[in-house]
Amino acid sequence: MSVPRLAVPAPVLPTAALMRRRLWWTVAAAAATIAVAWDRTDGPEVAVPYLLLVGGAVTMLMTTGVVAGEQRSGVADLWLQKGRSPWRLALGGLGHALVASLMVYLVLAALYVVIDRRSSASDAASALVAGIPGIAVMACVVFAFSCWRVRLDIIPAIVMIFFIGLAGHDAEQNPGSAPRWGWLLRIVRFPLAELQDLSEWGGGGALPPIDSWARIVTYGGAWLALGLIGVIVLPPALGRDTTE
Amino acid sequence: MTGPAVTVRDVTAGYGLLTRRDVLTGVSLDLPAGAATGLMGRNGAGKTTLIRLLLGVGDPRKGRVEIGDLDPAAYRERFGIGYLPERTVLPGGWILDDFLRYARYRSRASDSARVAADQARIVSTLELDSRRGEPLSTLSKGTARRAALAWALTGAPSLVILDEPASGLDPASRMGLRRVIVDCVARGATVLISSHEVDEMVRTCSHVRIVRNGDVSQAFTGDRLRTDLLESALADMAVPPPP
Repeated sequence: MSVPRLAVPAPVLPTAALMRRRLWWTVAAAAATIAVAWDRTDGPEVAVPYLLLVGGAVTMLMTTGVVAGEQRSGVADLWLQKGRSPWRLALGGLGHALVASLMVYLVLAALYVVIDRRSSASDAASALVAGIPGIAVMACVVFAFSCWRVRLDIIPAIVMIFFIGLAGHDAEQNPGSAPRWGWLLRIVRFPLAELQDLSEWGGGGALPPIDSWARIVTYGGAWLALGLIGVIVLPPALGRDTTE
Repeated sequence: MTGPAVTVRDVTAGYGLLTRRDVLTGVSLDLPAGAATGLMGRNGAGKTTLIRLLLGVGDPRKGRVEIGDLDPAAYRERFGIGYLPERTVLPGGWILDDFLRYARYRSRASDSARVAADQARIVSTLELDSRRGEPLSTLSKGTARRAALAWALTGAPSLVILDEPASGLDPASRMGLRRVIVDCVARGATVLISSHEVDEMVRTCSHVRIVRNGDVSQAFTGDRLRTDLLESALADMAVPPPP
């Protein structure tokens, strides 16, 4: 099914083309996200983790291979010849991940505000805005994924990582039910609690402990480093695929 | 502006990370600046491996490759290279007009009006004007090939590498191809064309090099280019008598 063509500035053309290719099933995934968040939560505060995590997964699906595709895909032959240093490519990819993550989160949050009749629109909006600091960390995860794989076989990996992230979150909320590998979950889980501390601090709460800051920085930094390895360390390759 | 001279010295290169296989062994080659050089050879002779080295997407196991005074990857990142790959793979979700606009943006030329005018001339010569509104995914093989060529030549790159450029093109499109190659040489670009077609080589190149058994020592130029090249090609194609 074709998507209407929009006039966009030249630097954003690859993103527009990506949206054109992936828009319909991205919209379907977003709708499912909203449905899950609305059904499983009692209010916008609890919905933030769902929207952040599943919105992040949606963003990954949308942006998969954006950076790696420039260096190692069927069309790398075209992109590589119009020179761009790996560092510039990485910086552009990080910006792309940040903007895409923010846009997806805001769209999901706006839809949630419209759907959620249980709380006032202003309360819901302010609760959802508090989730925005998490976008920077999520963008690092999205960036890392977009640097490594081009094809959509990353979907199982994304599902696994976010399942572990959610399970880790649940385990932390209910320590009695934490499985034996809880220590592993604590390492790999998305730092939702720490980001919540950060949001509360922004709203006039107490300064988060140093542990929270360290966890946010190391989590985002680890994914960022993984992405940079994909862009800068792995050599570019001429496209071998016959289809894009 | 005259394009860069390209120097390949004593290069040994191949492929395979674990089971290394050398395709080129001790190859030396000079591409004269501002001229079109043809590269011929049988399948698997090492033409594509040589092109990969010139594009800076692989390193030689021995020897060195220089474009101007730069390493090929550094040259590509700094100035860009006009490259038409052997297989045409265009990105999905793009309209041809957007694709051409993005090519102008990626060429990073300072004079955007001149780049746009140059591209319009190339697009017209390659008869792509009427296809601007079409999705790339619906283009025929020959049209996709011309679109990729327009992408490669946008921004007037000083080094142009064309791998089997005439493949899939009808006779009228081949005329357009020849015209844009002649234009490239006229503006001073260094052009390398890999092809199996003697006629195309003779019409567009002033020098032709033959890749054979991992070596590029055989060269043809001047008035006898056509005759010598034909003789060499025929000798290459000779089929051994049945036992």
